[in-house]
Amino acid sequence: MSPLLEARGLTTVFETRAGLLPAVRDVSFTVAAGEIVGLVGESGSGKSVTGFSLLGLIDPPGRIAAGSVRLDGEELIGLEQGRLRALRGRSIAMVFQDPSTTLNPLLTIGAQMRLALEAHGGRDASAMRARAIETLSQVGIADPAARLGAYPHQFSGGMRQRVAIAIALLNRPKLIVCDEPTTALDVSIQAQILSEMRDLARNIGTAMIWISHDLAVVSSIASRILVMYAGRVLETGPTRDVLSAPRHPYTQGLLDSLPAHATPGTALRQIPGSTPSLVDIGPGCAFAPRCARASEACASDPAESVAGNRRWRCHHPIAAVA
Amino acid sequence: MTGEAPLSAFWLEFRRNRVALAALGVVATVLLVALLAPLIAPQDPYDLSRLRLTDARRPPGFIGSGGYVHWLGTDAQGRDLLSAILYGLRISIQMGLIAGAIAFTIGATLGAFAAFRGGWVEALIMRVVDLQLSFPAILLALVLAALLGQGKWQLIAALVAAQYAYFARTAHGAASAERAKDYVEAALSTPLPTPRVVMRHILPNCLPPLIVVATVQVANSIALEATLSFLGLGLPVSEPSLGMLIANGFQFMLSGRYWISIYPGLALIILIVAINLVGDQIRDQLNPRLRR
Amino acid sequence: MPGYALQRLAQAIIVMMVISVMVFAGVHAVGNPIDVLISPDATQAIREQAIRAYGLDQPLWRQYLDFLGRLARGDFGRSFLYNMPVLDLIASRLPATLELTLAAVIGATALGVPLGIYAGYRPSSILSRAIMAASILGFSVPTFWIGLVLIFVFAVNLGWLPAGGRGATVSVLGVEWSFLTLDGLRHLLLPALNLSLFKFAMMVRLARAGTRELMLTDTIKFARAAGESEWTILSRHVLRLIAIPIVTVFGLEFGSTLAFAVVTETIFSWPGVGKLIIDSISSLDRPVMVAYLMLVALLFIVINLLVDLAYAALDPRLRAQHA
Repeated sequence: MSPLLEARGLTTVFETRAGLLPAVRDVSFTVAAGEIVGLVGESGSGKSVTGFSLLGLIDPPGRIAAGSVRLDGEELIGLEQGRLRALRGRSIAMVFQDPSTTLNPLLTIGAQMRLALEAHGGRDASAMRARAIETLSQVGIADPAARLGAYPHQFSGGMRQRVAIAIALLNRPKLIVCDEPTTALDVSIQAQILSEMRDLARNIGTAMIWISHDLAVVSSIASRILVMYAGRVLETGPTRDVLSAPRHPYTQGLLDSLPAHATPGTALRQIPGSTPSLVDIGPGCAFAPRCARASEACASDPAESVAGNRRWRCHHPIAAVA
Repeated sequence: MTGEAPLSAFWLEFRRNRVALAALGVVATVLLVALLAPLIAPQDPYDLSRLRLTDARRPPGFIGSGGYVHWLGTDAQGRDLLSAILYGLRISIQMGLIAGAIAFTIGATLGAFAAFRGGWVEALIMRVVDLQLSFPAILLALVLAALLGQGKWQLIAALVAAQYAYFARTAHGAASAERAKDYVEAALSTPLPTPRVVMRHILPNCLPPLIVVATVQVANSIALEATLSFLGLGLPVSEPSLGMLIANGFQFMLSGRYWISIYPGLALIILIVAINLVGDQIRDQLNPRLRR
Repeated sequence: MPGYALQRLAQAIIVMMVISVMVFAGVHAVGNPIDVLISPDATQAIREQAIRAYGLDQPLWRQYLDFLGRLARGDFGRSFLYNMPVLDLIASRLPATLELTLAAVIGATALGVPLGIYAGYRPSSILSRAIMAASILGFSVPTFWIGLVLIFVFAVNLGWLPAGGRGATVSVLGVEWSFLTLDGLRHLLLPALNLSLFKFAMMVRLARAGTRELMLTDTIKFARAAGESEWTILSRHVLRLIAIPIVTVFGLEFGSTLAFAVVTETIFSWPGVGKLIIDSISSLDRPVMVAYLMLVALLFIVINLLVDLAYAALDPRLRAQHA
């Protein structure tokens, strides 16, 4: 069976005054129907740009320079705008990081939900209203019928994000790209929404790409993860395998910096250095300058190694646990 | 914000906008031409003894009794229009610059003072400034010009009164922002007298936004002066600015003698548009929100 | 909400009082209207009679109090020049000015906002550049000169439209209006166009700047991610979001357009209050000047109040605050 989404060699660049900035470089992955895939990386690793690229929402001066994205077998890159618009929200939807900036502050949430439904052929007012109420209750909003007339500022941050998620769910998309939807929220609400979303995805069979800088968050929801660094996918595989036996030193570094992995009373371990500037990125492994295992070989681009359902890009991978 | 390097970097960026660069060239040329008017104008338009009524209201290209070509035609008194425009530019620019400079000084001082004094003084000053800003400049200038009578300094007073509030508002905004910064707190806690702190530290940092306002306001002053002169509330007839030249030509417009009004107007517009284009570029360059 | 409105009303009354003092003092500060009113060779008796008749023998504060008292009764005094009640005089001229100003401001907004949104939506297209060039011109070129050019081109050269006057009017509810007759409309077109250019430029810039900033926000990106069409995004989200600054400027600019009507009315011989104030300034017709300035101030305050209320209507967040 072919996957729901298949990205091949996706490359997105930004033209800046300082030069061409490759935010996403040769990224390939698949998402099966109903699957939750985690996309993890530090800020500036290109994970959000990857998400926006999938929906064709890259604004100038950025553009998708190369690659292919197939959704249900249909090529999205270079697709005519009208068709792409028809797919957005209906086949592939997206939820953003900060719910206080994504919702229109001047429209009631009922009106905003109606606009999203009308965008995909919604005509019958009472049917649209019923669907809006249904999705609002799916995301755990109490008394949804009454809340339709409320404005975004009348909701708390967590509730606002639930509304945004409901809007993404309205047209029953097959895939939702969630770009750090819990990062701006309180930790307790974060956990709550995470578990709700996991159940929701299972119940309605929607696939998700969950983007986060937080390995702990991603590992709690995703069955498979992709680790991104400087626009590249460095390692990918089933979440459990990657966490228990990372092959890439960068993944290991991310794991070591998690509080849960630290010995109580000792300082958290950090990856030395900081993310490189993408403008003057060289041909070699981008992580090499911060990597304890780096050697001269790392000046050249590591090829992708494959073992079973795991892939990584490293000249000196951590040995597999026997 | 001081020193050579930022200034030359500023210039390098400015140079990249060709439209702004061309506009700057136009402004410089107009200034030069106005300055050199007595040397390059074919005729001294104020020397009434040289005017011949037989030369009056002639179209562009006419060769009059002086034996030279009136490239832009002549006005109702037989004055060479090109000469009248060159001299008119001198007066218009002079008025704009003087009014702008006085408004700048008064407004910036008032705004910075309000920001530092705080309390009810600040509230009162800024309230008056806001009230004036919401009141159309032209009305204020109109009333003042009417009350104070005709004359150069009366007109300048009217222009200043109509414009100082913009400087005060800008200076107040910038100074309040600076005031809140740590280095100012530190400087204020030294035994240095407050006015010196203001002069040394605050004003230099408030200058960029004030310069933007100044460019725009000089252009506005010139336009406002022309408008008042056109309405007959501006300079006395002995000092014809561009606005008065245009007004004088108005009555001949209906009989098709367009040049008496149109050419002085074109000179005015070229000057104002050029100043505004330069001002736009400076503002864009100083606006951190538009920087990439 | 009522508390908020009351508070704003009290503020407005205080501001009106301050303005009335300033206007009164300013207008009385210079010039002696008697010199204008009565010929220099009039007898002393006639002079004194006139001074008493106009109350000019009273001390200033007394004149001011009388003035306030008369204001409260709606009596603005008589024009020295026209020898008729100022209120009647202004009332007879005001409709012409309001008609001209409204036509200009509404025209500028109806045209400027869509063009500005387009220029902000496609900032690098040729049409956008042309729109912006036009707005720079509209900003820079003095109103009176554009008026002259309009007259020269459309009235003198092409002969399509009249150069001045108000044309035929229709009386509705006792007020004469030009825009209801074809001839009146023909007379209205050029002056309204003239007066609107500056506002048009301003609306274009405002709408463009607002749209440009909005297009980069998550609100718009989220709407796009939901599959909403570009038309829906512009007409339902962008227009709604830039409406607040536009309403503010619309209100404030209505006042300043009213003031700039002075210039346009002079050029096009439009018989409104603008021409009246120019005449009254040159003849030191104090009651008219005072009444005009008070009227403009009042209009400003009323407009400001309306703008504030419109804010609340447009922005649900503010509605919550004042509730």
